[in-house]
Amino acid sequence: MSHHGKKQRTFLRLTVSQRIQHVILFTSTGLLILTGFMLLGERWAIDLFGSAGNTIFYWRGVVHRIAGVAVTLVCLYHMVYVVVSEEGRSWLRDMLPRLKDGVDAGQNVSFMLGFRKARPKMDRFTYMEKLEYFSVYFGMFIVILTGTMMWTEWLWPKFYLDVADALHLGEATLAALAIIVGHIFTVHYNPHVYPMNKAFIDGQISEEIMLEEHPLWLDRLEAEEATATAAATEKDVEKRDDA
Amino acid sequence: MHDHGNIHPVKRLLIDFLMGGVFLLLAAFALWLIWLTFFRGIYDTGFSNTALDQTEMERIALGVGVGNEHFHNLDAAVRAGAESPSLCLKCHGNYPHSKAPDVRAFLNAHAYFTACEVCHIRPAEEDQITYKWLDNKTGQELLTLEGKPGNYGGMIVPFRMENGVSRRLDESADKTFIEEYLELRATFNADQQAEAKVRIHKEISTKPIFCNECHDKDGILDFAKLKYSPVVVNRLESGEVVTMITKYKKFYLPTMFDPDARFRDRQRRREAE
Repeated sequence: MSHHGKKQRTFLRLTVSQRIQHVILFTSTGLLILTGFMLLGERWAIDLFGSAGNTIFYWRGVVHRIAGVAVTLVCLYHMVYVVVSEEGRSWLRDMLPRLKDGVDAGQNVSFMLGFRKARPKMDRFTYMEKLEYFSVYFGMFIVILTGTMMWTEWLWPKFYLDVADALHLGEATLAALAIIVGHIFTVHYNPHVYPMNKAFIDGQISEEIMLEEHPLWLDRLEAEEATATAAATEKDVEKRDDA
Repeated sequence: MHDHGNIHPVKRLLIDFLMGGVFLLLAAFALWLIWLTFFRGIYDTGFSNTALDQTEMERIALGVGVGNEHFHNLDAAVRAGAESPSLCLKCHGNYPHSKAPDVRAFLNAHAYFTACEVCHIRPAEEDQITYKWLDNKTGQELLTLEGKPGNYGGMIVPFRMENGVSRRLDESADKTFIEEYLELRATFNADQQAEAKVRIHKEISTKPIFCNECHDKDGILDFAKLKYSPVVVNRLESGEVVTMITKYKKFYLPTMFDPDARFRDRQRRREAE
């Protein structure tokens, strides 16, 4: 937790490790979407490459595979990270779905429909963020598995490869649309954060957004801080008494 | 909108402009993805010709090719090859290779995009034969290869430098004679026919070029000069093509494709008895 000036307090939303993982994830995913959907490009668009087309498409395949390896490694690293490191365990603990998420979802929808006066109070991760986070696990499992199958096509019967191809494309389409409609909106075009939520760069979240989107987490952090301060004061008093 | 109030109006306008542009791009991409998934249907490579675009019913209604079409379905490569039928095919047919049952399918498949003379005129040592892709419709050299493998709308044609002039070897200097012969051959006796055939085939080598003489590094055809991409050149020179040809000089086909196999088996068994 850090404090910047008196007016606007900020809190640590993403640690350095989490930000690096996110940069690798979004760079490689962006490249994968671009180089993957190039294969389904419209004829006229491909014609624009002219005689450079062959070279561009050769490198398309190379870049797609490199980005695929990068995304696989970052996913594997993340799975170890959420089990081994303390900050990773805290992340996973707060990310696990709870019954309250279902209640939050219902209450949030009824707020948006005008049946409730206030949004439900949510914790460190909202039900939408949890859904998005675990969708990445599901999606990555599918695309990494089917992508590896297509990369090692000589090992598989054609039927399996056809299924892998269909799943790879289907999941990629779903993921690309989810990123554009869901994630990009939430972190860029949502009026709360427009033009961008800078947490992915500096790791900080403002108190204003905390109050709006994660009030329960704010309460938790403040309670933790109060306990820590009280403990430190107690220690100081004990030291003074000893002296 | 957060800490947006302190931003200079011009900067804010620039940010809005940029974000608006990105929004439009993303929206267009998302809409394209939806169209791709639900509405585009079978991917159109843009290479099908008009005859293929028409449905069977439309073709029958328009009387296109009714009765002249091949009994079996012909793929685009066959049609493309048929666009520039060689003079040779008038006698030797669309499937000119029939003698060697194990490789004839490979050879006939090559005939759709390779002039007969590519394999049937063997360059001599002092010979300067160059090979080019020529457009089936315009006869101009293809500058790039676009389309499915082998189906680029053109043919590989050999050229020989003769007295400083580059001559197409698939266009016989004796074209008039050949056409006259084809018209009148029924009236020729066996000797006259044999004599005419010698004249017609005078440029044809007795020993044709075999697969691995081209599908090899430093082979007769320079695939890079024929505008194939480095990946394809590599595949044509090494990879599966040469391995298959060099490793399996003899092709073992399932006996179900060999109608005589059962007969030969029976005969062998009878002889054994």
